[in-house]
Amino acid sequence: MDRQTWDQVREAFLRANEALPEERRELLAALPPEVCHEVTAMLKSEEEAARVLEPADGRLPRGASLGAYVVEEFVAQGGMGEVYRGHRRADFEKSVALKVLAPVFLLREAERLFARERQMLAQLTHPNIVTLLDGGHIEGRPYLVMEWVEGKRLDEWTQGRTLIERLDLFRQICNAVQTAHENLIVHRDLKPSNVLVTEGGQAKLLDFGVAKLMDWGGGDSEPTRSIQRLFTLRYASPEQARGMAAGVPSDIYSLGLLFFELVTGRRAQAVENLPMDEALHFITSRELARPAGMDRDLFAIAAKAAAKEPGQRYRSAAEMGEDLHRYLRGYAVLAHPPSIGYRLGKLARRNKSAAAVVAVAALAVLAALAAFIVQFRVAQRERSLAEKRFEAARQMAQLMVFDAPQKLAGVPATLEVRQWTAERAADYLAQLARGVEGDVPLALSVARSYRQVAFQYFNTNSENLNDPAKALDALERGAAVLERLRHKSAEVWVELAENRLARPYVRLRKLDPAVANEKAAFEITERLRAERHPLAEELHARVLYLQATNDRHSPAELIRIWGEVERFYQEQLRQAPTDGERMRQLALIHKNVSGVYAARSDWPEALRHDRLAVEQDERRLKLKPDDPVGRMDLSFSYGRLGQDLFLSGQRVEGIAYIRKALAIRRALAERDPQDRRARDRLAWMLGLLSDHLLAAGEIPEAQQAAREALLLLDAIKTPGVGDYSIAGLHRLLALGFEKNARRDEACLEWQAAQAALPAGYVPMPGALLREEDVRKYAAACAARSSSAR
Amino acid sequence: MSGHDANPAPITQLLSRWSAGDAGAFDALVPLVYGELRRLARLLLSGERSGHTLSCTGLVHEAYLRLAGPTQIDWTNRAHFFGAASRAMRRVLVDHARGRNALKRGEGVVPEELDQVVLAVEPDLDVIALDRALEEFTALDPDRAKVVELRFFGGLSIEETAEVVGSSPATVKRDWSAARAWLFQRMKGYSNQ
Repeated sequence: MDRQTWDQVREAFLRANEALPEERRELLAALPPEVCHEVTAMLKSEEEAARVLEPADGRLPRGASLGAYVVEEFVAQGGMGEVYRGHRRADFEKSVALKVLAPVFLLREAERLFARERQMLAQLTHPNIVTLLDGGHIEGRPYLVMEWVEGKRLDEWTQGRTLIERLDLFRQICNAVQTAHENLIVHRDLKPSNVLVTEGGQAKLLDFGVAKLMDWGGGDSEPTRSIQRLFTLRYASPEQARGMAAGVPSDIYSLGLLFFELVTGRRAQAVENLPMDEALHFITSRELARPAGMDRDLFAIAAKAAAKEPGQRYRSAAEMGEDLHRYLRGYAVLAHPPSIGYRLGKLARRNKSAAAVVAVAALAVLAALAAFIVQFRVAQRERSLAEKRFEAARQMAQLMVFDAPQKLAGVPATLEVRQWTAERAADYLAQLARGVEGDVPLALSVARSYRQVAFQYFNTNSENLNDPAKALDALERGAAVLERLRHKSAEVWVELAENRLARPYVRLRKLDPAVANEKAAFEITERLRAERHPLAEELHARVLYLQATNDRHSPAELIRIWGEVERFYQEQLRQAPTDGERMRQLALIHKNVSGVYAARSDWPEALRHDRLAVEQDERRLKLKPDDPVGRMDLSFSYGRLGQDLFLSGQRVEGIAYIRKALAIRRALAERDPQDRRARDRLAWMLGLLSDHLLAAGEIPEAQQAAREALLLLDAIKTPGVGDYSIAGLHRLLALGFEKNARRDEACLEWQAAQAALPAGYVPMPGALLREEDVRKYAAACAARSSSAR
Repeated sequence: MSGHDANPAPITQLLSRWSAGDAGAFDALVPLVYGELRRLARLLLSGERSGHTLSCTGLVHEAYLRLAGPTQIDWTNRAHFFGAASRAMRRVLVDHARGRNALKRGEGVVPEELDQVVLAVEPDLDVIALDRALEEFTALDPDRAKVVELRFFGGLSIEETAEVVGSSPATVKRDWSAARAWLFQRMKGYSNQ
């Protein structure tokens, strides 16, 4: 190694060592390979290096006595002293943590603090606070005996945890801090190394060592103030940085920073490497900034807690915990400026009719439910959260004061709850719609609410009830309310366009109404364009998009329409290069264009657009790695690219991409076993893989994939209703058996395929299953079995 | 303990010569301190403290007090002394480790006073490997190697080290942490050979 490389290694190591996991990954990725290699190795064995190469001076050897306790091993060096693991004499079973004040800190102040810590900790018993067991002096060095907590430091624990797990843990921290505050104890040094998390996910707060009894009557004493330097600046509040007394608001501030780091994996207050004066300036003046991709509500919570002005922070840790609770339940957080909820409330006040109030209540429940379900699905695999589901259902029931609350209380599946709520909301809206008569704002609000309900029934972005017919019904009712208005404002036209854009005709295979709908939508956007309405261009592009997804147009016409849509979204993305929704649109366009080319067997063009879609989806996922929609989208792109590669003759590459798509869908389906759509899509991809493997002659694996898919579909199919996918999978199994000359088994599969085929099935071009095939082979199979008889 | 008969004068003189720019003085200092450290170890172990762990810090500070006395040397010289003492301590430890290894092979004798001393370094620390790694490191970055020597072999605290090398505690802490990680990698490399 030369000097220059060492300088690079040293700088990178120091930065990475202080960085949080997310930043660390980015930092390492940017290094030259040899530097990265060295730094990674150094980081990996950092702890061991510190243990082996730290001068052991002054440490207690194994077997040393501290009163009734015996030292087993040195654990760590903290700001206040050394920590050892030990046990009570003749009680080897139960470990304790022994904290001994380092001789170098044997100042009078520190000694006083240490004694105080002892006294206060003894008063504090809480499941999330490390319990003090004993204390004393050895050769002039005071020591504490504490409950031994086997766990990870908060920042280490965070890696690989879901958001819901992190938030849940943070609420425990809030509880612990609240309890301490109620006992007039301020922590003053909240940081990740002072929070341990046990195997069972329990948070344990350590080191109330610098806390002091809040003295409501008097001010700070000199010594306490002068040891302010002991604080970790990275989590220090502005008032602490200024050397002023630190009270409850100061802890709330540190909690805010801790929360920010827990959620984002990024440092909130990166001041370690700044000179003291710059660090202090940073702490007192630099507001938290929301990183791209951070949830706005969560950021609002962090920012409120970490407000520079103590008076603007949450008044207590409990209040912060409650706001988080609110977030988890999908209610508007207090930290947020008033928005939709506020507006809905105002609407209710403006229109004092009971119907309006009912609609508002219903929509509030819907919104709560939608947010709750998103969160809940993430957490569903956690058994401990089962109780919370019940609790959430109970709370919603309370909100839904207009109908039998007990109906929700014992509901086993969220799907059912949503179904019920959506129906209720639609009923309320129907009542409300009758009283609109010329009231434009109310008509708009009803129409929008109908669109919300329709969105619950069916949409292409997120979990829904997968009932496009009911969605269409709600949209048509919403539009009818607007159509009745004599004077339509631009806002009404915009809503009418949105309404038409949301209608799932194509999905319902109602192709003629689909074309008529597109035409009507086109006329509305033309009208808005003539008025130069600010939303006109976007709506226009979306209408073109809608037209382009309808396969009734000629390929040449389709390519022209797509070209226009693509140009619009390219321009949009240029204006906001990290806008996820626009990236998604552009990827979708590429996927659709590739489909047009693929239908004409123009593989180079199809593959080019497939790759552009993959690129866009991968870029988007990088910005928001845990987003299930983004992951599902990428699985579509991979699947599409795999399919087209395969069809163009690049079979090995094609199958590799299909496997990538499959891996994503498997993960998504495992995340929530009750998510019907995720299973459906997993099954679809398995079918595709099976089909291609069969074509490639990999029969056993092809059949295995088809069986797995059938098993998945079996659990979610509707009895008595035909299913193309099930028929197609049986067909694949039959073909596999045919190839292996296992005719009897093939025959059974053909029969199963035929049985599964819906009545009046119209094969689509490129569909997995061709009806003629099935009927032909099934007939042949029947002939065989009758001749065998 | 009245048995100490070392004359502090030569050390003081050597330190003055060193701070005046005489590099040879440092080389002369080290063996002097080395002898003192070993003598001290024996002395300390023979007395009532027998069986105790002797730490590098304890030895170096003890040696300093005996050789120089707290008021007889100004701070510059004190800093130089710790530099020399750390180097000497390094030799003590390396010799001790070599002696142990030689003894295992059936040759040589361990200096008896050191054999008695449970030097307060981690028992699984390979001092010879560390010495070798530190040599490599000295060639790469002599200033930071000095920090390691002071900190590890001299047992100086971060603050003391900072004063000796004339930088801030924060810088020493960073230098120390990076150097330590690097050295540990090298040491692992040696023991894998």
